[in-house]
Amino acid sequence: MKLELPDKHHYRPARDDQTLGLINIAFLLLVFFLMAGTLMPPEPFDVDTLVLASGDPAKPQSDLLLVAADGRIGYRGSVFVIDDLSAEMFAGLNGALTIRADPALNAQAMLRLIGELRRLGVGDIRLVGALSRG
Amino acid sequence: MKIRAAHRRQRRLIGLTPLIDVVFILLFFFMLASSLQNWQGIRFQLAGTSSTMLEQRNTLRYVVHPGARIERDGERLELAAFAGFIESQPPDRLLVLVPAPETPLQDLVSVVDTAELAGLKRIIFGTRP
Repeated sequence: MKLELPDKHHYRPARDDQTLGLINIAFLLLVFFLMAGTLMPPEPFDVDTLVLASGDPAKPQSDLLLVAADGRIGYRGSVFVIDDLSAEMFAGLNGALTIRADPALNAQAMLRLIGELRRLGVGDIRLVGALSRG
Repeated sequence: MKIRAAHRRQRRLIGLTPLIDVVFILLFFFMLASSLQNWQGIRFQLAGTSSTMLEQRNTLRYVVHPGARIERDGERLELAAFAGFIESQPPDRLLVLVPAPETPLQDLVSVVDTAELAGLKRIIFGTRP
């Protein structure tokens, strides 16, 4: 009786076996980006990131208020100036209002904006920036 | 006599090639749409909105000029000298920072960082020197 055994030297893995390693790495990368990343809504204008060395860890909320260097305000996909702000815009706000402002914005303009937000009933305001690496 | 193993056909539910295509598309989406930035947040409190008005005696009041230079009663301080002074103060002292007209936000925030890292916890912002 003669049994035919597969020849070691001529054994080739199936195409799917070669793909499995690749798909494993792709899945690991996908899980990494899902866990470590923060999905950001599209910004109506460019805002540079403020650098902070202190403060508490914070993730930008979906209700992020953007402030450009020239004072334009971006909120929920629309662009405003400070006079356009109204109490109704922040009526459904849950928790603190997160502000991401351009580092070149005039600091007095920022304080004016915060004063206006307080007048409109926004009590809790948080300024977010990237943690400095230094 | 030859014995051949029965060739059993395996049925796959999902083909690997379309699966990896979808995974790669998801991977590219999350790579491009997500931010890996390490975000920090500071709370903003304005002077005159609470009982801070009553604490004049325990208050340090500084004007912040462009370049994160600090002024108090006509005396100008660099950031390092300011940090040294703040470290010698009790941590419950109230610091009021007033930005000068041309001061960018980043310079004001740098002074806040310096004061917080030097141990001061109560920092508010004023609009009038």
